[in-house]
Amino acid sequence: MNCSTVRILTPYLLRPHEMAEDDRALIDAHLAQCAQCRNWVERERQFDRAVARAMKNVDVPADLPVTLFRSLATRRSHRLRMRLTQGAVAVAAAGVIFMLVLSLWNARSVADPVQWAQGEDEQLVLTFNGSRDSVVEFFARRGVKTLVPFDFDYGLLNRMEVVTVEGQPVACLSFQKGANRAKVYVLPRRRFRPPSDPSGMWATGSHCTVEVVEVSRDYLLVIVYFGEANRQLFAAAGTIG
Amino acid sequence: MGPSMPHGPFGRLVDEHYAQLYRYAFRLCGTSDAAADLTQEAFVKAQAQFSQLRDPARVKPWLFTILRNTYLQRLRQGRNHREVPLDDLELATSQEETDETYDIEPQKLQEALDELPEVFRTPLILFYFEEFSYRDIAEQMNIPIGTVMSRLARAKAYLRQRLSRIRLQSDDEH
Repeated sequence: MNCSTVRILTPYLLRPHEMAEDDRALIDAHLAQCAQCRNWVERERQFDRAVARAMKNVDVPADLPVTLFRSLATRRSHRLRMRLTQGAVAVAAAGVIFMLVLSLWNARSVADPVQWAQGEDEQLVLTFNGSRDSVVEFFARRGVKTLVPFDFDYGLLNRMEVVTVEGQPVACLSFQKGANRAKVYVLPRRRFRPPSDPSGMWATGSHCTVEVVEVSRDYLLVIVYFGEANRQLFAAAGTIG
Repeated sequence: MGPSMPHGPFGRLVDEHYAQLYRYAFRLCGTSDAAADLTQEAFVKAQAQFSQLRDPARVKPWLFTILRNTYLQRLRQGRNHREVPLDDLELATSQEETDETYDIEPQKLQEALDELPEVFRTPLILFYFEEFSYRDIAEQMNIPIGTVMSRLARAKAYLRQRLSRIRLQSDDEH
């Protein structure tokens, strides 16, 4: 090892514990026989010691620990308050969400067997009654004022329901005779009008025929016949055909 | 420590390291007020991040890193710092042959440090605290060990020249 190598390695030489054993041995061997490098290293060490001494010569203010701990305690309590506030807000939000979910859950319709039984009884009574008046009453109780067509045999009525057409609740009557079925929708004329062209009052689909009938000044009927059914099949005695 | 000092691991940590951290801060900032302020801010950050300290044996470099990052943040926020141009640090690292013994006044040392750019000042300060290895300095500054050594060599050369100049001026005045 020569002088320039030793001087390049001076930083390590000043921190022997960070140097590989082999390199250290080589440098030690060189220093043992080179007075110039020994002086060099010694001056480096003196300089380092002097700078280190001066560097560490800093008076620490006596009140620093008190100031530090006071500041840290203030910050800690501030952070604690922040966390408590955030926790309270989170709990309140969770509570509101829980109450909302609970109210939605409770707001669901009840599958009440009593109501179902009453509904079925009503249908049964109507089936046995087979009268137009009971049909009018059925829809009136459901808030739908409607016209009930005269010329249908209400003994063939097998279902009544309020359906929504274009956002409007309307009466829907289902008739059945054997395998033949028909549905009658009663539409108020204040919301619905018939087709302008009289030839457009009929239409035939793939499995049904639809007829629009201007039954009164206030109501239209839309009658849907399924399969081979027609109006005569459901007519009351003495009204049609 | 007075009776108001908090207990617990963080309280002990502050107790053990505040003096070293303050000295480091002082050498970085150059004034006692700024150093106290910087030390305080570093401990506040350390307290907030205390749960992230994975290896308690590395607490000292961890604290020093927090303090340096806080200092750099302040520098970026616009505090002007008079520094020598980097070119002035392109000095020969060869030592003048002299038999004088070194006796460095802390204040003069601080003046010389204040002139150095932070990237040279920090390794110098950490080096002379002696307890930091080249590897520690490299990790704290996030630079290779070779870069630490070259910056140290240049910074030491500047320091040596700067302190000699002060000494010569002082001798002339007498």
